[in-house]
Amino acid sequence: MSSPATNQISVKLVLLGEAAVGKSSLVLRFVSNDFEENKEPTIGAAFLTQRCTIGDKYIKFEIWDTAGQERFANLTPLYYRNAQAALVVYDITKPASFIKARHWVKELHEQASKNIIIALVGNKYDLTLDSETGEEIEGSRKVSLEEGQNLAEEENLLFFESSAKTGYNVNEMFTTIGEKIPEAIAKKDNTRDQSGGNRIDLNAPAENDIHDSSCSC
Amino acid sequence: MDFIKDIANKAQRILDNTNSPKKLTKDELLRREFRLPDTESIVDESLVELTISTSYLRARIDRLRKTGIFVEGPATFNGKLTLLDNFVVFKDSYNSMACSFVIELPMVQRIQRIRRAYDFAISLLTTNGLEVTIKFIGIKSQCELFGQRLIKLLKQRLPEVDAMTNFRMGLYSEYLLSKNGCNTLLVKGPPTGGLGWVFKFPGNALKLNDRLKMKKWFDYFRENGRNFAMVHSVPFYKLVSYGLPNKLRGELWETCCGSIYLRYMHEDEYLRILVDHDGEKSFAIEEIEKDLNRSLPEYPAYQNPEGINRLRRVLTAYSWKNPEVGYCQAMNIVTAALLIYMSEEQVFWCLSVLVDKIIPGYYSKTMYGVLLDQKVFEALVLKTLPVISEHFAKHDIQLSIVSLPWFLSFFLSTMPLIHAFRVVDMMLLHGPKVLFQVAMAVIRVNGDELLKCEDDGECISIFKEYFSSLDETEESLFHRDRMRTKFDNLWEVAFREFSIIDDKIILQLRKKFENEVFQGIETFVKRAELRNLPKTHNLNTEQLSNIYDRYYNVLMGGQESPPDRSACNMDFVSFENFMSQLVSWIDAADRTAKQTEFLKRLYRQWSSADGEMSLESLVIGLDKIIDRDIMNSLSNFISLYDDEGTGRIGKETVIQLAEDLILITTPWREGRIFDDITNQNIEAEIAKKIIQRREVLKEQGVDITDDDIKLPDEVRFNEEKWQGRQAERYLTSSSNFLKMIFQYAQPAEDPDKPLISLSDDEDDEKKDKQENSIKHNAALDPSRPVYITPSTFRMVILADETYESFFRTEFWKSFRVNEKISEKLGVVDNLRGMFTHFLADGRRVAVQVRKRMDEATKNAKPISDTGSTENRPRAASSNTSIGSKSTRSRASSSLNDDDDDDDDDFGNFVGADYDELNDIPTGGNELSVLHDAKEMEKESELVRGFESAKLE
Ligand SMILES: Nc1nc2c(ncn2[C@@H]2O[C@H](COP(=O)(O)OP(=O)(O)OP(=O)(O)O)[C@@H](O)[C@H]2O)c(=O)[nH]1
Ligand SMILES: [Mg+2]
Repeated sequence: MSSPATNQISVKLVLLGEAAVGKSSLVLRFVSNDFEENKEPTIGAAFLTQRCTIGDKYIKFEIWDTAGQERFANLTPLYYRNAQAALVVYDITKPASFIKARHWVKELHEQASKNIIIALVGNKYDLTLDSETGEEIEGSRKVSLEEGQNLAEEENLLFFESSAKTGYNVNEMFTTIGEKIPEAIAKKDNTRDQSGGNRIDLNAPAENDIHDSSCSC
Repeated sequence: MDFIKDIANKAQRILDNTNSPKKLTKDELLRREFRLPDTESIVDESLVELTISTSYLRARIDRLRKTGIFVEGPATFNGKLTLLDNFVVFKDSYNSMACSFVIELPMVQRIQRIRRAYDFAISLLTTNGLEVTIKFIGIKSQCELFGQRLIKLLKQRLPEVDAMTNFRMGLYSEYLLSKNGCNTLLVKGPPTGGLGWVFKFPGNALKLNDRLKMKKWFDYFRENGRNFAMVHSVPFYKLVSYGLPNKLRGELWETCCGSIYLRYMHEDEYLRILVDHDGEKSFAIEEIEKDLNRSLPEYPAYQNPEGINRLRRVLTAYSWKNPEVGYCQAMNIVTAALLIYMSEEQVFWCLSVLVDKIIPGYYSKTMYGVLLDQKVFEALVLKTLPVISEHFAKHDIQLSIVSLPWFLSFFLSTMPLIHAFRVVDMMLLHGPKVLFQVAMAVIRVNGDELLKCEDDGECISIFKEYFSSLDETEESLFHRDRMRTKFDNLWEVAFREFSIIDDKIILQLRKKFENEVFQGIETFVKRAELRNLPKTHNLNTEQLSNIYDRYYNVLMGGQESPPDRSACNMDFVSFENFMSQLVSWIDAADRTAKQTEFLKRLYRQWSSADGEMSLESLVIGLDKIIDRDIMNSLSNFISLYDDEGTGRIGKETVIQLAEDLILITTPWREGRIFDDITNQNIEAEIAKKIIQRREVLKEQGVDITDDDIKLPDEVRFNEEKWQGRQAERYLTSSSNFLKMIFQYAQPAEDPDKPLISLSDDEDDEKKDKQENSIKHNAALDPSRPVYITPSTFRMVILADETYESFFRTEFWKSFRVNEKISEKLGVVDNLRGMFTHFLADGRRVAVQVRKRMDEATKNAKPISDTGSTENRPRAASSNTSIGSKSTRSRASSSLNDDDDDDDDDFGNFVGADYDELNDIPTGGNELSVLHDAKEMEKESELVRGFESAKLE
């Protein structure tokens, strides 16, 4: 159960967003490169891990996937406690989910750790495209690209539109976060292990330990 | 805002619990014990000795005896028999598991008195063959009374017998017995039940020993009755623990949790709710729709419209039945699971009992129930598995975030379904303690692994791995030589080792953590709601927080019963209440028509377009009205009167405005609070006195430099006089206002409206004054309609010294937005209050006095007459008000006793050593001679006490 790698950075990442926007599906895509048409709602929260190499960093994502329904909101502080990164997800075909996303960003800025890296993610991009022609279906999109970008700019967030169904931009968002994770934070996280064996060595050969990961990022 | 309601209910519950340790009533306890509907109450009770038998039991005994085996006859039990409106119930006093029963009255087929010499005894025969012989213990006449009451109720229920028989035809147990020729009731076909009948039941029936279990229940039913008349004895509990057979599961679930009684009593409610709300939309329904395709998607029925539709109907009906809960994720999974074994209607009632009784608060809008139980769970782990608990603490692992899903969906989303169903079996019978027992066992059997893990993540992985391997065999934990599945081991640990966890412990711990959990939720909800308020210009975060607290305090405090659906907006009564707490010029006790008039105006102007006063609209309104910039303040104030938004305010409204000004200045007009002008005047007087003292000292040849200033330790003055002056100023201002405003009014083009008379409860003097001014004002001639503009209003106010000062300082200050709800409410700013306030601020006053004194000394010119303030700079506003009990009667040490009232309306100020004139400070910081504020307060307290004693 304990982490096998010695040169890895652990990144605690939390997903937030309204119910059914596709948080769990994004995680499933990232972790297992899979998609389920009818994913059960997350009860409380789910925990998954994924290891991957990004540039010269070897990163272990510890992902907390939270439940989206409003009433679960007051459980979420338990999960974003100590998180270094957050994905705030909305569904680009559901305007209400964008409003929720705004609230989550505020909540994180107020309550989460100071240096948390937040990415705003507009999911279900595939629903706005005609599967035959690949062209945008008129009126299918309810939150414009600009709205998302503006919010991200205002609040200093990373921004992606994605599709868990097609995989569009899924690995990219995790990679970008991985790249952004400053060494300092990662180091701090690893000071938990006083043995000294858990130092980060960015020069360590990446292929050392990728037995359980097919992450292509 | 449903959160708030939830919290309100909860708060009420906490209050109920803590303030008056409200014990459950006898009725409630009994209903809980026997899972009876809330409508039942006790009719009579008696201690009895009874035996229960059936023809099958007797036959079996006979059979066994014939083969030479000695078997005892039916056992005798001692316990309490209770008669309720629709039930007769019994439980053995010595061992409740040994024998208990619930018989619904229409099931009683025959009642007979057994003739005996000394005691009263009866025998009951139920429709399903139970023969109960009851010997009453106690005073015979009372026992007979019990019998009479029972007979009376039985007669009343007679018409229901057919309905009950019909109902029973739909139960699988009856079909099972009928099919095997052991039922007087002839049931032709198997009842339609859950989805499992069509889409197959989960798991391998063979492996689950389904046939054997069925046979066991068949035997049990024959000898112990079933559904509406059933005895629970040791084998019953064992059979439930083994896991219920597929086809009987639904019926046994509803029998165990008592939902069968509700379903029988409210036979068409489920369908009626669906019909009544057909086509209606709601937020809950939206949420339900999102999850319909996401509930046990691997079970075939939920890939099919049939299953989905049943799920939709049950969840929707429940959301209408219990709108406080509505729909919570996890309910979809629970409902989907129940629907496999139960019909829609069965699930509907079972869900009701589950959510309302067994796990209250789990699915509520704040989910406080499940959060609370996580605390309880953590406490139990600490108590019984301290090593693991310490390990978690050391590595900052929060068990509650791991265990929350277990509790929320009774392991249905955690364990493979067939195992989770066994948890549900036990839970519906034994209540919530089962969840704790199983959860504890999970921790216990994974103990070794858990002690190795170092963070939440690893911990979760261990459980994930464990739950997916429950079918694997391992060595039995209790019999080392045997092999059994991990699940069987878990089961044994849960109900053997952790049988110590009972309802009592759980209730105790819940009580212990209730406040903590509740507060955590409240903080979160508050934060979220405050964050979503619009930006305010004048109210800061802390003040918003105070307003928030007061807002909900008023909403909760006003209502004993849970507020209804839309109650998170403030109605007018609550608003009035709120304002009376917030400002000094609204008197909660004395709600005059005028006051109401003004508040109604505020309410109207502040509430949103649909006439609702939400926290948001209240905050926006308050934020405007307390603007500290006098121009903004006046503009905002006058806009309250611009009803049509035309910028023209008609005559009637102007008169109303003038009256409202009188209302909001009440505390100052009555002299309850000194305004800025009065304060400045008093300060000037203090300065004057000090200078006079210095003159006297100088004349006496004492050498004092300008630095040697002795400030008074205590200030005494003629309070009434100052009050009178202030009152007069306000009266003059109010009558001037009317005169002036109409002088500058513009003639209106529109036809005149009749002039309304001033309200009657104005005191005579003022009324006269105003009426005079009205008469003398040509503009008030009803034949000349006029209007004023906001700028006229501003001009008139600014021209009046008192009103100007009022709007500059007193008005916004009168909104006590800085006051926390925890501080004592409703303390009127009376003089006593202000006196303390002054002393606490003594230093600041001292500085001001000193400044004035310096000024006066420099100019070598005495300070002008106190009656007038014209030549005093008005800009310097003081934050301090001072006052004191009148001390005219106190003659002791004051030098100025003989002062003439007329030139000394200020009275005396007395230093601790004022008489001893030679006691002159020798330089240094002049302020250091002021006593410490606290000490002074104490002193003044003494003086006050002394005075009041004297007055009496
Ligand atoms: N077309 C499309 N559907 C998606 C996408 N992502 C998720 N879904 C679907 O949307 C539904 C909800 O997805 P989930 O991943 O369970 O959503 P969630 O945000 O985890 O929901 P909660 O756990 O309830 O908070 C599922 O039926 C998914 O199949 C996407 O990118 N495109
Ligand atoms: Mg999810």
